[in-house]
Amino acid sequence: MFDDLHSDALGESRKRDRSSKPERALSDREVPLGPPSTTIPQAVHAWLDGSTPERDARRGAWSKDVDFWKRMDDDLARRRRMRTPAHLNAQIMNAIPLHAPQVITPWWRREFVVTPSSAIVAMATLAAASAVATALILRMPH
Amino acid sequence: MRTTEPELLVDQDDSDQRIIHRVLAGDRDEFTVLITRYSDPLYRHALCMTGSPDVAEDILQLSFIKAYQHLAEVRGRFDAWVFRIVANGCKDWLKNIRRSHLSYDEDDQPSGYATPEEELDRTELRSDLDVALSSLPPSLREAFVMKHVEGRSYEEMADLLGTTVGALKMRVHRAREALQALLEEKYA
Repeated sequence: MFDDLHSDALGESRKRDRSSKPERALSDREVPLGPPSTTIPQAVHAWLDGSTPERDARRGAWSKDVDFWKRMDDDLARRRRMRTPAHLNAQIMNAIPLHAPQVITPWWRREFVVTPSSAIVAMATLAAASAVATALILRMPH
Repeated sequence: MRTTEPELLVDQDDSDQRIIHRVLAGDRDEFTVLITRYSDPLYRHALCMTGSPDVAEDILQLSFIKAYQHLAEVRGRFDAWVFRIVANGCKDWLKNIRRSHLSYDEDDQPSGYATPEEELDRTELRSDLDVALSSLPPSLREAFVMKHVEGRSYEEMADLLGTTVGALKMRVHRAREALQALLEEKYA
């Protein structure tokens, strides 16, 4: 039925429209365009996740899925053994700065040192701000 | 199929913190301990995400430099923090540079295959799996690599990626199904 709906001329033109648009690379997309053509049984997923034994995953026609993933694991196991190239750690150490990392302390944790001059400036600023505020309040209509 | 145990041990946290304090106090060489401790799993992640050993090395180097420069900002686990730097580096590279496939050098492990035919099969499988992995969307590839190459639990993956276990299971399942769809005709 679904196929019938799309077998008319309109459906054909839609197909042409789609095919004329340039295909974006698959890696651009968050999810693949369509569902994958293979559905792996939950028992096989559970075995791959390590939550059920292999014999449970081998029931019925699922045995071929198990064999497939065991074959894939030949290569995945090799990837699990891969190590950083021997030269890389030393190369990284040579590339990092020679000085110690800068410790940035947030302003609220910093120590404040009050000198006579800074105290005078702070008091003058406070007095000026108070005078301005008082003047504004006195000018306000009652 | 068996997955490996995560190499990043939780009880190393205190030790990491002590090393960080020493580095911040000026003992630059102590940073080598952190590099040696975490470079292997991070390199595997970068290599499987990018498919290129050169790019993986660059990402790892830049990530550790960044980690050193911002070491004073580490809150919590160092390994999780540096993993996020590497993972973001891989994602940025994938966004900026489109490369479908670059094979990587042979590892140093001795071959367990007896005949040249088996060795050829092995090389072909590696190449096909590389191509299939590179065709996955980055989020699916990342989840699959973390599960099947890095051997992390879903809980650890959720902690590192800031998402839920359910969402990650879904990503891993979809990655498996997409990979099987791409490869089963040849390998089933």
